[in-house]
Amino acid sequence: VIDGSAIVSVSIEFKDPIKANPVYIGMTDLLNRGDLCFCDQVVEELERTVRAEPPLMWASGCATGRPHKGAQYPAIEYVAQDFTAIIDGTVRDTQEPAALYVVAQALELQNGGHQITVVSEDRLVKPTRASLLEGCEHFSIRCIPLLPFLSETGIP
Amino acid sequence: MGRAISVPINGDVLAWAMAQAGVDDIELAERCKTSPDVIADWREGDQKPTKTQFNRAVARLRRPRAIYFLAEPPEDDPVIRAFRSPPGQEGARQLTDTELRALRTAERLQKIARWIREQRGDQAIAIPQITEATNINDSLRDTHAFLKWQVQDQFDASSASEAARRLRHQLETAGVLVLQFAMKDTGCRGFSLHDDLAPVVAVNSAYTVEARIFSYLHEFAHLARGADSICARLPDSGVERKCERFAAAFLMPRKPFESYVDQSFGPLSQISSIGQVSRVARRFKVSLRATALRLEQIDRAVAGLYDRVDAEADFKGGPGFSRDNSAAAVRLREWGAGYAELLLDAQHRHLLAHTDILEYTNLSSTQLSELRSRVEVGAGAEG
Repeated sequence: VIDGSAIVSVSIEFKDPIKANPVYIGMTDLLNRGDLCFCDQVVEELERTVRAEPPLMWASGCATGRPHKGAQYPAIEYVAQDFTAIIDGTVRDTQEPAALYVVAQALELQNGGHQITVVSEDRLVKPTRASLLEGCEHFSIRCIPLLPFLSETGIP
Repeated sequence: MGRAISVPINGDVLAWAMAQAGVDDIELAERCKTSPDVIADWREGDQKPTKTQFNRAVARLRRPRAIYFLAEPPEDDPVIRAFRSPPGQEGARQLTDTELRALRTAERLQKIARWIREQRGDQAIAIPQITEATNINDSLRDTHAFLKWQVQDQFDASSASEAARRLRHQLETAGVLVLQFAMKDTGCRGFSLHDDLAPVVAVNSAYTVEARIFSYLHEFAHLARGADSICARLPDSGVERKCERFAAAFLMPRKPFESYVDQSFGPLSQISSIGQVSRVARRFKVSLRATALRLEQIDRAVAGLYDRVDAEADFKGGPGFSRDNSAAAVRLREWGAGYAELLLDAQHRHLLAHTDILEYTNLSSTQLSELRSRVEVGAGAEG
């Protein structure tokens, strides 16, 4: 399960499109094999944070092929109530972070018997909400940054 | 046709969000294209909204979707609660929608700024305090020193916008977050949120730049008194009048002010026309009303001069800010260079990541690069 911060980081870690493109292609292959997914809220978040840049183009372009598009309401409700700190109550509806929905998606899949790793750069403690890493730790979900994920999956 | 999916929201949280936003069943029903009875059922937990209805409710109440799934409502916002019942006023004040949005944004920015300063181990912002026992001349002297601002800075500025930009910069350099919100001519003139690490003054950008210069100091006076405030167009309490006098005396110190009036209209002359007020106002880069107020304070105005200055003169009369309307420029104008600098510094110190900065500026990566460039060249902004 990949989040917006990790997708954005592809263009930060690989500024040269010649180096970034194989990464996007590798991630698309993973997604088409059913091994990578992201929720709808991640796309909404990317629409705000990277607009028409490659990370959004990648996510929008392969969104229909995702094996899982997001958690159902019971998982969202469970995460919201069991780890309230993941919610940024100070933000406007139009700027809501996807963190809660990423954790809920990962938890739903994990509870469905899948072996789950969350890929995220949202790891630092923050002023307005818990990080995705903290959310994953709370629910005992594995969470790694982008580069180890690329290394583990053999994406160049 | 498939059955619509119900969203399992917590009715108590919905009721809370409605109360916080000042929205009743009738208004929300209209927005959600249903009846007030159905909204009451949602609040009571007897029915759940469809996804479409939920999305409409979320858009009206402007809270993140996630909160509606909480087990219980969040705490009431103490600032909004306090501003609905300002001291010295009877009954509750109905905050406008734009005021509510501005207050919530200001509180969010204050929380973020405070957190960064805490992480950096910053000292408290030592705003010179004003108490009932404080001599106003001492306060004025201390504040001029604290802000490193003299009336000569107003004279030196090429325009009121330039004076406002420089004054805002001085406030931000001293550690005050200076925000501007479009709160329309029905909204408050400004508000302040007291905090030892992240004090905030916010002004309504519907007012002219001259009026906003005055509001910066008026709201700063509230901070110096150690209290939050929301300020109406006209001073409506003893404290408001004291802050009004403080701002006037700060921007129009008695000696240079009297000297200019003497020089322009003759020693001991009584100012009686709007044209005369306008000339003094231009010199000091303040509004007509602030100038008339000061003239009355020092007994250099004919009776009723202040009342004759049209209150509407404080408004810009149009929605436009300036021609520089890129997202980065707007963000700097509204949230200030001080806030942007804090975020960029937090990233530099690895307190926050790149995507955190995007989250806390509501900007895209490209727009953030532009904001960074503008901050680096010291491009503050006034509308």
